[in-house]
Amino acid sequence: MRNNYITKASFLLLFILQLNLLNAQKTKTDKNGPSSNIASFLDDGLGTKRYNLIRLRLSRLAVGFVGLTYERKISNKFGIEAGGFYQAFNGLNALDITYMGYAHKNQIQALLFPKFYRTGKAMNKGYYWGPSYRFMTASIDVNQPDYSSNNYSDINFKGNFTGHMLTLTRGSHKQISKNFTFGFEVGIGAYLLNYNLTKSDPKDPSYKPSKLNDGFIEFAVPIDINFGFLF
Amino acid sequence: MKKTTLYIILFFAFTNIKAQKRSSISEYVSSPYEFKGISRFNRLIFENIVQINKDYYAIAITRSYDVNSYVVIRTATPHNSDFVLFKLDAKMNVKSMEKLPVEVMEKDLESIDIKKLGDNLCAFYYFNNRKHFKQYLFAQLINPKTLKPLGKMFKIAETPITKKQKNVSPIFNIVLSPDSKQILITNDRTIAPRKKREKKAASVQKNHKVNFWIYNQNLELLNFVKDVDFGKGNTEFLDVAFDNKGNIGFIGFEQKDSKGKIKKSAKNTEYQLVGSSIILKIINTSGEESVIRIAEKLSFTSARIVYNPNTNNIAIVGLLYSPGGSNGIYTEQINLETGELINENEIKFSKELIKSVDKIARTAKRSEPKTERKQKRQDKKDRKRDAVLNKLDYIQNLCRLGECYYNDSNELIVVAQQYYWYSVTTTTTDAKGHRTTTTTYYYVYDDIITFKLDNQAELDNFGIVPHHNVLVNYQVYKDYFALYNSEDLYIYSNYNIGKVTINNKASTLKEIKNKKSFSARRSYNNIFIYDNKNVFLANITKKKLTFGMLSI
Repeated sequence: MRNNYITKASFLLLFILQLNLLNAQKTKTDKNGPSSNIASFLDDGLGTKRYNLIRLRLSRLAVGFVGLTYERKISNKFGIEAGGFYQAFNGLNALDITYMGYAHKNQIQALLFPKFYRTGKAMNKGYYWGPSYRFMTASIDVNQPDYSSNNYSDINFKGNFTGHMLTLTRGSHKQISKNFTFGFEVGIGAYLLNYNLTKSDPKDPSYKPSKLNDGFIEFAVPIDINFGFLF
Repeated sequence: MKKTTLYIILFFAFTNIKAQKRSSISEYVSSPYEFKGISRFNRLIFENIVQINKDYYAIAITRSYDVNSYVVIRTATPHNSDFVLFKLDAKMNVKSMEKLPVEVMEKDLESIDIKKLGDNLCAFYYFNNRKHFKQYLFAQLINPKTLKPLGKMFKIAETPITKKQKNVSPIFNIVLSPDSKQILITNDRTIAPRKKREKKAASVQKNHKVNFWIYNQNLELLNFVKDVDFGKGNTEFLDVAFDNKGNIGFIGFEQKDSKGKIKKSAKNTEYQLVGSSIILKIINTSGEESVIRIAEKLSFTSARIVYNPNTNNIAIVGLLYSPGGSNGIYTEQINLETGELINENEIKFSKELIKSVDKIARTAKRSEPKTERKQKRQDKKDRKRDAVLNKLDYIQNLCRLGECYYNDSNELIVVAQQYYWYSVTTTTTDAKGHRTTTTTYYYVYDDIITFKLDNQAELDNFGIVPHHNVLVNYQVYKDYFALYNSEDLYIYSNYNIGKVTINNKASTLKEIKNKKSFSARRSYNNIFIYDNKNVFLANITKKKLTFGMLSI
């Protein structure tokens, strides 16, 4: 009785083994023949096309912003990006000794960037362009020598500044691994800055506090490097 | 009264014969067709034209550019994108148009070509998989009536690629059988670009290996052979013949001497011909392989394989190598099914032939000298040239073998061209003292020489088409098309066409009537030959396409 079970079990095992062998042989011959299961051949480790991208931007290299933005692909030709920046270091403007130079410190920016995918039809490869708008603001409270007076004593500047920057930006993107991208951007445009400051000398009570409203337009060529995370 | 009637009949008969002769070349030009989608980053390039029943199908590929700009460095990588298929009537007017996207399962494939396969069209794509390190070949049948995909897409071949070759162009070679019912696919590794070090390593390797696949019109695998030995490691794949039964013959060049390929002087560089030996591999339907080394003692500058459908034989035609040109033609006829040698013949050009080839071409190119003094100067030049030719035992610069045809009497028509290139390096210094060195390459396409060999492969006659065309910094294998309709041979080049007299005479090319319609952009990509009897032309302006067909 027991022997009967063993024989049955061994036959079953042999049958399974034979099936496996047949299957292995079948896949071996199929390898060189036609196959309609093309999904397996198209899996190149880069994933399928993505619609969401989070970018870490080293923005305006000469000024020193670090930002986090979110990009959404809307169609094969169009996408939109939005995010915020914080001035983490003074960049190449560190030697700027005017109040405007100090104003760049602790600055916050917001970005809105609708873009057209020119080649590649995707956010993870090819070249794109579009109008990029940034709103920037910072509160100012700095002591600085007043070069306009004779005694060169430190004068306090207090208030805030707002700015609007509009550039025509073009950039390119490359997917470097399954989830990561690398890109480069160059823009050309102008920014409009408005300073609303109160000028006072805390050490000299005879110094009359005065209002300082200054506004000007500057030419801008922002250069950005960015690293992206696709999901 | 009777005489007048006879004269009238004779007059009409005569004019009719004349009209028939004139209509030996017919041409059709379509009305302009508006096409959106051509831009700086999207070019339309015509690849092929096929005929199914009464309709023609012009196949074009959109070439897109992936632009990456890194402030100073800007790279624009071209890649083949969507197919554009135009269905044309006999008069070349567009009946319908369809775009076939390369995006499959959210991945972009690269398009290769669309070919006629049985009664359908078949689109071929490739994909470089950087994870598997393989290049895959995909095929998709297309319904010629609707121009829409028919059934599923199939992976039909694969070949390994290296890590650095992830952007390599297609390694596969796709050939159709004469009845368009079978496809032969070969993967030749030598097509993939190699570094100098890799080429050197390949020349030491004993074997050059090729895989091949044969599919029927329903994309069912008929035969697959892996790692077929084909000459030494550096063998150059040349040409393939493939009959309706599935017998294959392919030839390659085994380079004999790789040294002294380029002759350099202080400023100019000239190309120097190199002789190679031909290797033929035949594989029949039962899988039997045979390797034949063609005339081992001889060296060749160019070779072709011609399939004769009347006898199921193939002919290997080679231009014999001589430093500076070719000194003869070698032919060998072999049965493709059995590999049996039928005949072989080595024709050496006689000194009379070399002299007369040069003289006929010279006289045809020359305009009449106006003064006696000029005539004398020309005679002096001729005497000098004749003195040079007396010493030569080869036709100078004859090194490019074009099309070869069998006619119904099994006579062979061979078309060859004189070709050479040189480069000129110039150094200029600007006002600030900056030196700029530029090298300009000149590719010279000279006279087209045709030979007629009788059915015993003996030289019967020759013909010359005097020709001179220089392409600067841009080269093609040949700058002409040969059309053969089993009786007459025509040559088409630069919107000129002419019938070739193979009777020791010069033939001239004449401008085609609608030259103006097609002269906007001279691109060899947009003109191609169809069926040996028709030249298809596509003219692309900004948003308008014009199609034309020349038929003989």
